[in-house]
Amino acid sequence: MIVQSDRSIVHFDADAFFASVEQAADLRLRGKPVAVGGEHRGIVASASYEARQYGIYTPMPVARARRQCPKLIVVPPRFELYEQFSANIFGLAEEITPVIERQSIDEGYLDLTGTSGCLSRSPDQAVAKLRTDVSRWLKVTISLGLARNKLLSQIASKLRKPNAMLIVPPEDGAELSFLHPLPVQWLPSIGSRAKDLLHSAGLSTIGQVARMPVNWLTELTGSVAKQLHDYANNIDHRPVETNRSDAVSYSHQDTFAADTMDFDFVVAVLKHLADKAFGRVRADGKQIRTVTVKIRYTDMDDHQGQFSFPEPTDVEEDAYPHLTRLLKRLWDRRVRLRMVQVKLSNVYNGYRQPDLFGAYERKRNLAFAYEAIRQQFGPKAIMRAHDYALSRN
Amino acid sequence: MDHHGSLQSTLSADEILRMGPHGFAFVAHDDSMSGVGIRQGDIIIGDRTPNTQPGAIVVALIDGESVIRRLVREGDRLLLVSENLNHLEQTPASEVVIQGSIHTLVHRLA
Repeated sequence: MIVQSDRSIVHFDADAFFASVEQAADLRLRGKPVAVGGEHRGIVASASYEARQYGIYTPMPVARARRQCPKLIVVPPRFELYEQFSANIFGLAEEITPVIERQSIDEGYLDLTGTSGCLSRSPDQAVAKLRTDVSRWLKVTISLGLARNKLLSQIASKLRKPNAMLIVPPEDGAELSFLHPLPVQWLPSIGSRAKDLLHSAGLSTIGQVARMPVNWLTELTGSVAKQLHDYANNIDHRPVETNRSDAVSYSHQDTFAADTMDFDFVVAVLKHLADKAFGRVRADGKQIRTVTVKIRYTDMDDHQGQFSFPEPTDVEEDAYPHLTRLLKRLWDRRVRLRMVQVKLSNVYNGYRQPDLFGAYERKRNLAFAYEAIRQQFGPKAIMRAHDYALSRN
Repeated sequence: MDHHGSLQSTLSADEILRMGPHGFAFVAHDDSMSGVGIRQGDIIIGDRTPNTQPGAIVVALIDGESVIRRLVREGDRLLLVSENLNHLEQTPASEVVIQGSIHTLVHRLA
């Protein structure tokens, strides 16, 4: 068994990813304030560091960004291109270790524990090479943190962005003097509500949280207290969990009680599965771009098809019309179905966009409210039409 | 036995196309590489790799678009050049992103 003190964990995070890819793809954009703007929603989805100097941030309405920086170059998003660059970055990471956990299109963990022998270089040399390879080949930069656990490496990668590499020395004293002076919001389980609660109790640094008794924290923050206290004391044994890019997905399936030919029933099941999967996507604070539907006939023959949205989303309503369309296309044999599956993939982080007219935000709020009501009052308290249809089946 | 000139029908598409995990496919959208037989509408298949050698035909991002060029060495620098007498273009390779090199060309007849 490998004990914590032996681990070499890397977190990497691409800098201003969409805008950087656009700059890499087009010489004319380099060194200039560039914003990738949601075409439909009129919101800045990613701003280059040159644009950030003008106070442009994500998400900001494009019109306001243009007023603030008249020289701003706004380009529409090209998610396929970003996904290619992502594959290239992870491909380079695979050259230094097979143990890679993809978190989203532009960030992930690598476990370099025990690799120095086969790579003939130390973890910090391997990471430095990865950083150079990415910027030389792909003309984008990534920021990296190297430490003994996920917690420290993730903080280290984000602390000095952009284009930074920060190593937390593998000694207890050095780790705590890195961690404890930081504001509490650097702890991963901290949402804005928990942050406010801690602040109102006079706790603003991680060190202060570390010194509080767990039961005191529980009264303040509820069930996350133990985790919070562990992290604040630099206790983090989470492993780097290897996944392939297509495995970073949210998938739900249903095998019918009896094989069926009922198209409307299958559509209702698909929508129900999509609701569950999107609920998890939102709970993780992620967005997805690709929906895959798989059907299995009664003779075990599988068919699958997929659809990619022009922009990532975390709202099931966006997927409903495509589920019906995909099912229509896929179910081309006159044979009963025994199982269907919905898979959401191409996972993004931080692409939630309030749109100018609020339609997306309304759909999203509705989805949250729907979930909250069902959680509090049970699944029959409120139902979408397809759930109602299923409940009568 | 000499098979030269005879048609073989037992090749698998996977073997011919060599679409590995790092593979990509593009449709050529112009005739800038007609000199090497790549025509508009052809499908080109390649591998994403950072190590492209001079002489290779590559896909590169120039002016925001993926284009096909040949990587050539000129003195101590690498250039990306088009291969069409009506459309000569050169770009220093060090300044742009080379997405990968092409190994297979699929030319549709119908």
